[in-house]
Amino acid sequence: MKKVWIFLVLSIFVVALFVQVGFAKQSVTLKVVSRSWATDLMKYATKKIQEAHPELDIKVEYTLYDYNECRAQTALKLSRREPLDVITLDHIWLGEFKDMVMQIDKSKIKDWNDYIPSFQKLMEKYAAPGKVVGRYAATDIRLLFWNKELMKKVGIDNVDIKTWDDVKKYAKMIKEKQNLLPEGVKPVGFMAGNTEHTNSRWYDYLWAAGGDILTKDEKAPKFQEEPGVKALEFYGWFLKNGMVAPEDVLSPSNGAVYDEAFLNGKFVISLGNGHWLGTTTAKNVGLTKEQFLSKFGAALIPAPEGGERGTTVAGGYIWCISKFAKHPDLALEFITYITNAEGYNVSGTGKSGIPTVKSALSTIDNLPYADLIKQAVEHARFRPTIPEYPKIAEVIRDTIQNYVMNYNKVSAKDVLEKGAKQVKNILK
Amino acid sequence: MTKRKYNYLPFLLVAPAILMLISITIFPLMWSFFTSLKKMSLLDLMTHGGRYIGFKNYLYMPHDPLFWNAIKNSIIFVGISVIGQVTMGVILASFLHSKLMRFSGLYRAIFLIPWIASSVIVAYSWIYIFDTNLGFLPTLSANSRILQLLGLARRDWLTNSSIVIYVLSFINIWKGTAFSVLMESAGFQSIPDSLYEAAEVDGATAFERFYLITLPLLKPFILINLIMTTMITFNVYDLILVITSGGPAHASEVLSLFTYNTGFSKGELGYASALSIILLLINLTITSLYLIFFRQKEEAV
Repeated sequence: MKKVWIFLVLSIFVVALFVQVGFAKQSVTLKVVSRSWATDLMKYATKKIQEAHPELDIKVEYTLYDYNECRAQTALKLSRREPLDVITLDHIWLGEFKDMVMQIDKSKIKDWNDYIPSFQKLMEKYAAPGKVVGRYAATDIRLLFWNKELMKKVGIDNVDIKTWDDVKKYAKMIKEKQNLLPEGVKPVGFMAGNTEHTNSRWYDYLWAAGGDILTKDEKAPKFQEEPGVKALEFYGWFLKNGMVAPEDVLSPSNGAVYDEAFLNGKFVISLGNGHWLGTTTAKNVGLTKEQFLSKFGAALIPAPEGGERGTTVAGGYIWCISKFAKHPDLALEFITYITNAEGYNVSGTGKSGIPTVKSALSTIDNLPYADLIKQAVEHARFRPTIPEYPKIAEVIRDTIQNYVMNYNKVSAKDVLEKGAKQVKNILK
Repeated sequence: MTKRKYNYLPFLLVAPAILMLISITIFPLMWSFFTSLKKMSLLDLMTHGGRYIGFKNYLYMPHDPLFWNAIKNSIIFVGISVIGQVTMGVILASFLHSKLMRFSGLYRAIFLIPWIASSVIVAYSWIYIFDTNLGFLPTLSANSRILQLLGLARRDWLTNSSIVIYVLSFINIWKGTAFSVLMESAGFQSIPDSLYEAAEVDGATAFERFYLITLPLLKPFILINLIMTTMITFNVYDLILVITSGGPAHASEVLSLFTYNTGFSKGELGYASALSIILLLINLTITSLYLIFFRQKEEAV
């Protein structure tokens, strides 16, 4: 009898164990490396993927880093063959990481046709035919801004800037009546600080002048050619005419600090980050959207001589599946939640910025100058994506700074030639 | 013949510490050295594709103008910072130790604030003081007669390549002085009051008491302070990274920041490793020189 009881108890135990194992959810951990601003985004995408897969016990293990740290740590982890599922790449790192990502079949990108064509091209760059390297998330663009109140003070009411010559024309008019402006206000400002923001704003002038950073095959410098000289001399014109001093534009630390100076009335006309200036930066200096709109005017990047319209630098990140991903399908689903049209610019999702998918562009309608931003993003251009670009960018930044610091001693042509020589060595 | 029993216990007890030392100090150092013998980019790191080039990274250094620029900036930055911090440390600690000083604990806590504050917060605070466009000092200087008379009415504190490194040294002194105050305070507390009482009876002046009693007895603390401050300052890069990023045009790029930029911004891991080894050797040399100098002085005494 005792044996029967033992047998029965054991049988129940074994059956219970099998039932438990059989019905237990399969546990999956997605490993993600991203930027330090992505906490909300991680929470949003985690919630979405968990809701979509009630049969799985999905955990998302994410590590977030600052800019340079993110690049180095991702490289370090991949060098150790760590099974990262999702990695976040600034698009200028793409050439560096192209062999470390798992290419995705375009057929799996359900909203492929929703992407703005220029972003599609970047996603296809470095990928085999019919594939992409990852999904582009939000982007940012540049616009030309002016301070309406300061313009009014010098008697300019209706500002209409379409070309770079218009910028010079207004700067001249402001300079003539500078005594009507508060002490220290400069007619125009362009950034020449110790940061890549300096480059990305200068490229707008360079492209407008008909130039480029590198040759089409990305194997030689091109910025030192005639259009580059013209673009740098554009800066020189303001310096030589006393409209701005080197110390005003060498404001060192980053683009946001420079933009804050513009919003504080330091410059009358400036080039700024399209949506940050009217949102985050405006908020930092205590301006509401309405105040921003009444105080500042905006226009698209001016057109080149004889051209129809200028083009803007676009920034942003591509979300990729790492080559060592253990769960590539779930990783694709995860990055789809991060980059698709759903939840853009909705509080709590972390999906902010300018969407690169057309159907979500309406979500920026409440941003200041949304119509201009939407037009600009359609004509966005990118910086080079080759692995050498971070080194090249430093040379170009130094070139701009050297010219600004010594504009009355050196020629734009000479400093650009000197920079080009260094870039040639890098690309050797 | 009895076999002698060997006692392994001491080795077992120190083993965790030794393992820790190997894993977090010796191994990274060796790895860094081997990397410095390679031409290695971030891409090479991922693909295990670095190329062994012997000592070429080291041989290239003397031909790199940015390296010499970083060395020059480091000498200025470290020299001014160390002298400033240690001197201020001794002066402030002597005030705190003075019998006339009330609430010295409170002052000590206040002095500590810049030291315990994050470098990023400190950096942004100073940006809003010195920045040409946003800083209150350049704004104030336009209308302040006093600042104009003092020669401080300028706007290019952080953008003039001739003065930016001195401004950063000043900020670093402000941030680091608390460490010296703590070190020197410990020194002051170790000096017995009876020595001062005896000197007073003998009619020594305040200066004589400081010069003949305080300073000699404080010397070991000053030495440690000098060594540690030198090493810490040689490795400072975060403060400068946030304030100027080493600019304008590398005018404030010290060796540690140059190493960081080379490795993490340009992605040249091999050359950055070689630079970090040189940074380590400079630190070791300076420490040894200090020790030899003070030992010789002590022997002479």
